[in-house]
Amino acid sequence: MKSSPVYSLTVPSVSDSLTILEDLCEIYITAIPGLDEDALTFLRLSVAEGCRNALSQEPGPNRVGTVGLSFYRTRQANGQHPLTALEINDSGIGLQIEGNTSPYPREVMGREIEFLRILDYQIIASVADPFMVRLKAAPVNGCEAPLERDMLISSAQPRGLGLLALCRCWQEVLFVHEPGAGTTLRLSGPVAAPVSN
Amino acid sequence: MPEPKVVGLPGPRIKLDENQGIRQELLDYVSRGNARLVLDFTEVDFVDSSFLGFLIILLKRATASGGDIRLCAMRQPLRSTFDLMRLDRLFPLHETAEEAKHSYGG
Repeated sequence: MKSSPVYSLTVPSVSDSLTILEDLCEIYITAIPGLDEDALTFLRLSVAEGCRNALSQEPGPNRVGTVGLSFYRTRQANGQHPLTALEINDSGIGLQIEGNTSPYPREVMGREIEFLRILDYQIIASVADPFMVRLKAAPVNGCEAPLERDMLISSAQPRGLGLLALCRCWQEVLFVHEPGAGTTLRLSGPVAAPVSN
Repeated sequence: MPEPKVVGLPGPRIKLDENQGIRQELLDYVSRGNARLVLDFTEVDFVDSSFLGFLIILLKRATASGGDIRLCAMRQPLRSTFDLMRLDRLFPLHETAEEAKHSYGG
């Protein structure tokens, strides 16, 4: 059962209000107990990247663009500090998978699809149901083999870095679209050292 | 070859859409060809992915015209963000600006 957020805020999807949103989140983030410097950075990065992504989304017809951000705390059975989960909601239509938006057709469901390639990593999308996409990051070719710098520079693209960072520092990265309510980026799992694949 | 140019990035937080001035300064420099650039992160605590994506564009332009870009003084936890995005594979990192300049050789 989904718990209620411990901190939640929705603002218009414009640059100025998102700056305020990030500043308010910073106050909350720095007050979370049990987080080391890396975890704090990953949360800041997640808020910033989530807001940037939300800002780029076009709201549906006759809708005002908004961005909502919610922090959740979940207890651990071993009594360690609660884990933090994060949801960022925007007014957009969600991820496009092989040219398809939600509801995703059957032909893209149930398999892993390379969504983006960033340097020597790839982001893999799997469509769990017509309204949800799960993302994960993995080394290209399944191993972190060193690549020549020249090759990396020639193939490097400026897009996708933020998404790669999210997939590497959260256990679960989901994009869930709800018709009429927009799309929610759900980040959960320990905010810790990069997830190794 | 020209002397390496050291540019101290304005901190503590850098987002590309809030730093168009530095963006243009860097683009103008690498466009001259054979640009040997050192970006100093001493004052920087946080960088968003749009600025780091811009650095990739800058690196491609610099290397395409015979130049390069080195980075220096990147502290934790910013370094963790950099590694998360795999950018340590693209940009040589140095402790100080002097070390970065020296790495370009004669």
